[in-house]
Amino acid sequence: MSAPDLLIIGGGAAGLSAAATAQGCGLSVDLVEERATFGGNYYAGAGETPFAGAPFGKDHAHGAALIAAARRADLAAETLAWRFEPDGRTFTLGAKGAVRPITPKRLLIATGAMERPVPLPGGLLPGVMYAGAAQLLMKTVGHVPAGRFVLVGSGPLLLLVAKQLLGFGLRPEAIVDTAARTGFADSLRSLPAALNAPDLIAKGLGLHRALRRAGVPWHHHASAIAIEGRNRAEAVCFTDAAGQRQRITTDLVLLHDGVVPNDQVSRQLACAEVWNPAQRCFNLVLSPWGETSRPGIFAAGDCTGIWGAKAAELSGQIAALEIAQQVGAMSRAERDRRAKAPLSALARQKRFRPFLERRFPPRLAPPAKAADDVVICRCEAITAGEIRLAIGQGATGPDQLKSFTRCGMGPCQGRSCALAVAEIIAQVTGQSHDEIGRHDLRAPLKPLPLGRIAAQPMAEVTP
Amino acid sequence: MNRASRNPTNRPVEFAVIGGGLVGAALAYGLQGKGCDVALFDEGDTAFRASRGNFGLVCAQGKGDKLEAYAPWAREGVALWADFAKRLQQTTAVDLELEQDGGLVFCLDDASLEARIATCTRLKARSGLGFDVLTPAELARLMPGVSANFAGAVFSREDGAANPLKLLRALHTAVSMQDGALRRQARIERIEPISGGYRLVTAQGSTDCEKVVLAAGLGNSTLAESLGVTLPIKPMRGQILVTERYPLTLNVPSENVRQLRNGSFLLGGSWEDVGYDTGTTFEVTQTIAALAIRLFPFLENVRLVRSWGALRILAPDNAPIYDEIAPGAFVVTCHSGVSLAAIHADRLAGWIAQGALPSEAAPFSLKRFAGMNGSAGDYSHG
Repeated sequence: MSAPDLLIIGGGAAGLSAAATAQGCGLSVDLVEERATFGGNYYAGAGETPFAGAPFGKDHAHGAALIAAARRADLAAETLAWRFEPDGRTFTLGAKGAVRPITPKRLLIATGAMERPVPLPGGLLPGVMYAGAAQLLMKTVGHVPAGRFVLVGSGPLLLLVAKQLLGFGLRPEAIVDTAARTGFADSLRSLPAALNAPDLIAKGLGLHRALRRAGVPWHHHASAIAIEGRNRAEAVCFTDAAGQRQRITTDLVLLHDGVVPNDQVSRQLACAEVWNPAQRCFNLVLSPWGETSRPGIFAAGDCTGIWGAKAAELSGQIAALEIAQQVGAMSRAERDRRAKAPLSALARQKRFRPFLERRFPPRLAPPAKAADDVVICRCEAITAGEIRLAIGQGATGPDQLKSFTRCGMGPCQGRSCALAVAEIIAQVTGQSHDEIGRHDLRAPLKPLPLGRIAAQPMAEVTP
Repeated sequence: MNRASRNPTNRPVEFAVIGGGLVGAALAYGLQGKGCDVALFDEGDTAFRASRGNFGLVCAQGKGDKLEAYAPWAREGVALWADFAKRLQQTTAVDLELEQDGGLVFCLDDASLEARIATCTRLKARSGLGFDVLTPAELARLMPGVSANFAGAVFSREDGAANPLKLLRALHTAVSMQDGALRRQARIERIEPISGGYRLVTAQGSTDCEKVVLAAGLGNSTLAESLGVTLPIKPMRGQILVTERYPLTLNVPSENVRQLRNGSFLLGGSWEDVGYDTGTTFEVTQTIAALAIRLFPFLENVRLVRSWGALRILAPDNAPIYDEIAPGAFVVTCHSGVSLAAIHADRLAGWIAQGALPSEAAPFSLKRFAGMNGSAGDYSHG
């Protein structure tokens, strides 16, 4: 049985920087990453170069440096951590190997973010995907859309993907932008927050300029989005800023409504979480060092709340320093000295977020307003109407709702529906999100063959 | 949704049933059907809720091993199910997915097969419940995909299974059709005797009733304690695995493997004395998976989707407890909330509606444990 000082779940910005920092402090470190490559979403493909001249800029080089710095830790790709116990004991399954238990002294969850699921009329048709997924295909295997495509939603990533596709010579039919109308007063209020990250503001302005220069049709303040098509997506429909219904024919629709924590690991461990109304998602309750409500279990990066790639890297470092202190590899004074700069840089990054949160609130498809025939739980095909009916029949909590409707019981275990369900229960019952919470999450984190579990040395079986 | 059905009201009722699981909901539904004025108090999302961790067998085979009066009661309970399901489905439009095409118990070695046959033979003398002993080869003809890696299986044609989650939902739906009958998020903190009945105290307020039924599963211990009675019940954990969907293959359920109508397999059969821990463990997950693959080798490539643990509520003889522990205060506790749902809604609710338990219920009273010295007894399959 493996028993490192630190086990890190996830090889993105937070996990990689924590691995490098902890390893540098003399800790033994295991890092498991479900995907074939490291870098997470933000630095996906940074370790490899599938094709030269890719339009991914300086970030790519920084990601490659992060991966290189973490290499001295024990990094395992294509390894799923599927079962977690409150003492940090973790069961993993490699691509070919058997189940392996790891009993670390400390566990760090660094599972990053995922795109906010958007329950949308027509959203499950073939030809509809998330913009971030399209970006991953572009960054890791060099696949780009064939045929016409439209970008729908809001947020920095949507615009970034549009610009990166332009770099491949691919021009969107349109950007259907659902960002809120921002008045002068709003912009002024956001100014102090924005000034915390002038480089990011410059990046954003650069995106706008590039897209304008390319002459991409850009429909602002779009609402009431629906995707039409018989057997696949054929058109995007929306109400424009003037209140007119518009229809754009397309082969592919790329959706994006911001990102939310990919927090299935901390949910399986039932770490305390709190609703963040500005981010419209749950954030983990953490100590200043990133320790969760379960002693010895840490979390860093976007799986704790959406703070961005730079903040993820910093929070990974900070958690690693405290972990080094806890396992006796570093004095408190040394920890404090080394953490001073990253802590203040992290605080600055966090002060910047309200600017983005105000600029890009999730407006693509608010679940509380979803029509009754819109599917909320994709695995079990449960509609908003069925959920509302079950709430009316007594399922006013997410666990009872799950047992009444099977919503959240499928292979994704609510990864794509849990937030939407909380929004609908809140709207129907008037309870707060913190009162409602989310349903229990069970092992395994993702489906795996029974034979792989049973193929372990085991005790005598009795029926 | 109106406010009355959302918030506990304080209106006094004739019957208060404490516990919104399968036992309490079946009793409340049954009492309503007999014209009683009923309120069902459901603790809500945080309850241990054995009903949600259930395998869903509707079975009589083996029941009564340590209390033979339970054998005919369980058999009658199974016999009443079809009619119960039909009426409940008509009322609520919820399909309970009842199948009564028989049920199996697998015995891995000759000794356990012989012991099982002896038990079933003894109980048949009391209940009349027939059974067949099948060799692996005989079973393979009925059930493609089964291995030969066990000694034999005992088949009871009256047994079967239903969908326990849908049963709970249907019962809640039916009960809540009477406005205010389902009191949600209403955890009863204590019961106080008052003139002409009882006062049930929740965090939000209190409700007076003439008669009260304690059907709160493991919560019954504390509630009965407030009336000065100690219940000899304890939790026994069972872990269940559920797989991805698979083409319909298994037509007969067992305690170890059953296939739901949606195609998922449920795998289970663990009995663990671990107190109030509803967690799962890797070791038991592995054991359940290995046993399922031993019986049905094709399961090796079927993917596990979820696992969970739930607590059975066991008396020392694994049989139900029905008793009137104070005037007008009944306690109903059992671990077979699905198998006994029909007979609880029909016969047991009938007795309680009339206000007293008849002599037929005497074998299930707490008196049978007198002199037991509070020992846990011998817990095993039931």
